[in-house]
Amino acid sequence: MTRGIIVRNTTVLILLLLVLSIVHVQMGEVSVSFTDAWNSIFSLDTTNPTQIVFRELRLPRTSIALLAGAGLSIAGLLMQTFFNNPLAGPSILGISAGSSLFVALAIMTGFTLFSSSFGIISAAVFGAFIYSLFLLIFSRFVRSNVSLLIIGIMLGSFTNAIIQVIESMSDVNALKAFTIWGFGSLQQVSFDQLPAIFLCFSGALGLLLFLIKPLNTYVLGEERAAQLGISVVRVKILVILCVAIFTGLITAYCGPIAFIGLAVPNMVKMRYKTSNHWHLISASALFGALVLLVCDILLLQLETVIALPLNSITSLFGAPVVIWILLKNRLHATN
Amino acid sequence: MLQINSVEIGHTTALLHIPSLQLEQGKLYGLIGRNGIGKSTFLQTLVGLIPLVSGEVLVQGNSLETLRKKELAKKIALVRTSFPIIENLTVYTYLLLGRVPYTNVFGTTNEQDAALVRSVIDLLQIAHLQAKFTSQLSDGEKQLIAIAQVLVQQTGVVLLDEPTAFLDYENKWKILKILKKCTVENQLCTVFSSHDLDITMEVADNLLLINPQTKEIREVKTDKTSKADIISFCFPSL
Repeated sequence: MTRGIIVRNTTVLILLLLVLSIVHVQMGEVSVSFTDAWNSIFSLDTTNPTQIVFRELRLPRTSIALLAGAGLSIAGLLMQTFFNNPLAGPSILGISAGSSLFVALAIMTGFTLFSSSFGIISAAVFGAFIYSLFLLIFSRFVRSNVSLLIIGIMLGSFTNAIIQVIESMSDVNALKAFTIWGFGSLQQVSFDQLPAIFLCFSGALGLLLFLIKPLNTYVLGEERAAQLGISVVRVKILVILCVAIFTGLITAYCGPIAFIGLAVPNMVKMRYKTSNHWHLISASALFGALVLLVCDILLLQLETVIALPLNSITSLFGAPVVIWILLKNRLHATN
Repeated sequence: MLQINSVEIGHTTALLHIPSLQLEQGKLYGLIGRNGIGKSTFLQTLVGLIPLVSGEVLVQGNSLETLRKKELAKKIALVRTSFPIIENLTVYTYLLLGRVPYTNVFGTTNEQDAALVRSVIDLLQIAHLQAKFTSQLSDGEKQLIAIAQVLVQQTGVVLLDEPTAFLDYENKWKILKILKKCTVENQLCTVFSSHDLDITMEVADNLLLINPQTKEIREVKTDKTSKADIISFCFPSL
């Protein structure tokens, strides 16, 4: 795909994102004027209910929708290139489950180390990191793409079983808190938490800059990348760190969100037909943000009729995409 | 170019033993030995993918084990038998990836890199392939662009693991003639392993023969040996 078409696609994505962000932020009973929106951030009038609604509900929800969509898609893309497997993604390979397990431990067993709100983030990131390490170790022993997928799914099921054991032993209030968290929602972030989230997110984006060249080389296979002077150990650490920060951060605040990380990068690759990770990462981030925003707009629209968890909407969208990829690859193999 | 001093190679235990071997630039070497004797392991060891069991290898005067990976990548390269399945990668971008050891931390390439790729494309006459995706190529074309990428990498030493394995008779000749040409024109030190005795004897200047009983590699000049000698040395049970 030529540079011109990539620039055009990116512009369209950014414009759509802007429009849909405004639509998303305006969804609800009250409509917020630009002045109210501006003031609610920079000079809050605590007697103005519109400003409070915008600051505490609307803005955090839209922000986290954008970040979660972008972050999960980037994490999925990293894993797909790194494992050389188009079916990799943070939820399907059990990384999100790893985060959930550590959050469950934090919420329900009340480890003092994990009990604060910052503790939940660090628990989620730590869990994602440990599970990425597991996958890395397993991936050394399996050659086929499908085997790694099955291992990931098993890891996820096993972990969810452990979570259920913990649930059955915990008290009612903690269980309720955890169950609500587990549905996946974009409404659990407050305004005060946004700066810290932005900071973590930007940190991971910064690390990504140093991964572009290695990832572009990794498409040739790990061995050839090593032969071309790429430090394989450093790439492994950076990839796992990025995946853990993105997945952990988002899982901690929104609960597990399925399929975005798997489906979005694949759709981007089909459209862009490039293996250049500058383009793949930026397009996945933009398109992922767009997809999650659309999912949440749907969810808010349907709210009056039926209250759906976010996780089920993303699965409704994502699962068919996965089946499509499998069928496409199968056709490839038989041709 | 490539000097090997009393080296033992293998994954954990010594598979092959090489007392002393000095490979020169401008020469094409054919590596011949039985299946599973350790030809691939030998080649992988020389590019630093597998550590030496013992001994010392000097690549253009630098010790293989102390040279930094990025520096090593400018001196020696290995083309593997199998070509990876890559989605959405054009031949041109694939060739440009040969510049990875020379580019900065973000991998930006400049006009000189592009010019080098174009010159290699001209040398191998593959201009018609450059806009294609690597996944659309035939086995012969894949082998050709794999060699082209190594030429773009500009290493003095080029190793190839069975470059003719999946090719038909015509493509085997084509690939080996190109190797011969590049070896002479670019003054490379080229080593390739092969099971095609006849073609190898035809193009290689020297042969590296592996004896399955003593596990030693012996260097002979191609014009000072015969097919019968090679067979009795490499395949004594025949």
